[in-house]
Amino acid sequence: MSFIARVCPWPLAGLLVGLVAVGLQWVDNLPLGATGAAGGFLEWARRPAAGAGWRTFFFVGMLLGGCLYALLTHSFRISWAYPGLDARLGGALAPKAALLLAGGLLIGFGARWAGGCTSGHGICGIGRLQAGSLLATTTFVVAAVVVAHLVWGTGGL
Amino acid sequence: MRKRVIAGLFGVGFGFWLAWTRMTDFDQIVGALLLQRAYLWLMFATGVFTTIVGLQLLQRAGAVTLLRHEPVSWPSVPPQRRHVVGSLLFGTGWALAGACPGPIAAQVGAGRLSSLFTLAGLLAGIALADAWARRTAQPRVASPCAGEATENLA
Repeated sequence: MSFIARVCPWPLAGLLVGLVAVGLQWVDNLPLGATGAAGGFLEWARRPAAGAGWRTFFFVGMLLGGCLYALLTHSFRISWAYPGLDARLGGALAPKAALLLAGGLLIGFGARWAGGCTSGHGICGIGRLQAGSLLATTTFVVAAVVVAHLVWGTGGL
Repeated sequence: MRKRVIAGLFGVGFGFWLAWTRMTDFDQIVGALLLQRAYLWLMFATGVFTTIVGLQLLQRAGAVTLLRHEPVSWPSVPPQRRHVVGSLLFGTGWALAGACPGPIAAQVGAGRLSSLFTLAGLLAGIALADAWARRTAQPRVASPCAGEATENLA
């Protein structure tokens, strides 16, 4: 239990996410990708009559997995708190909501436009040795490092 | 149905993993992006290495998929302009919110109500990208791993 409560050692963490990507491929040539999963969930939410595809199941699984971890480690709390961000923004809800909504929009539009995010291009696409995924990953990592320094670095916001 | 149940179980495992590795923590992500924490980069390199080795082993052994017994294969993804344009926007959002799509879902699952804002933005952003792709009749992009903006074009 205490092993699970502590942060997963990085070599094991890397091995596990690799096994998820390889496992999905082996099962039915499925790509690991959280943005595609969210897109599938959105399609289903718009037209439930058409039925839920595997991506919707994966997306709901991610929600349940996060819930399961929180329950097992006794860290499940229904709360507006956002540790880390609260320390930087002062904890008021309105600026936090605005920042997260704007960030979410950029994440959703950008990752969908680019055809994948950290899991889809970063792990799965580079794992498949695809040049487009390497280009996308390099781009979003550089962009994120630059923006993080501008906004959250010393002298930032 | 078997495929969907298996995908759901993989999703549970992935969501659990995201929480266990603290990809759901603002400081874990922003700390990595400020180059103050090495964890994310070391884990990511190990994950990519594992995936490359695993997929090459599967393919070179001539493995077939477990469900439909088809050859293990994937589409090719040549570099395109939208990989750069989209990723510039995505990277900006990732740094602002300190979360990417998977962790947003895992945060909501852990009862983090603020993450409903990030989730709403994520889904609206995806819907906008799909609508825009339809309007401008973007050519179908061979996408690696999901998230094709033009995926559902008729």
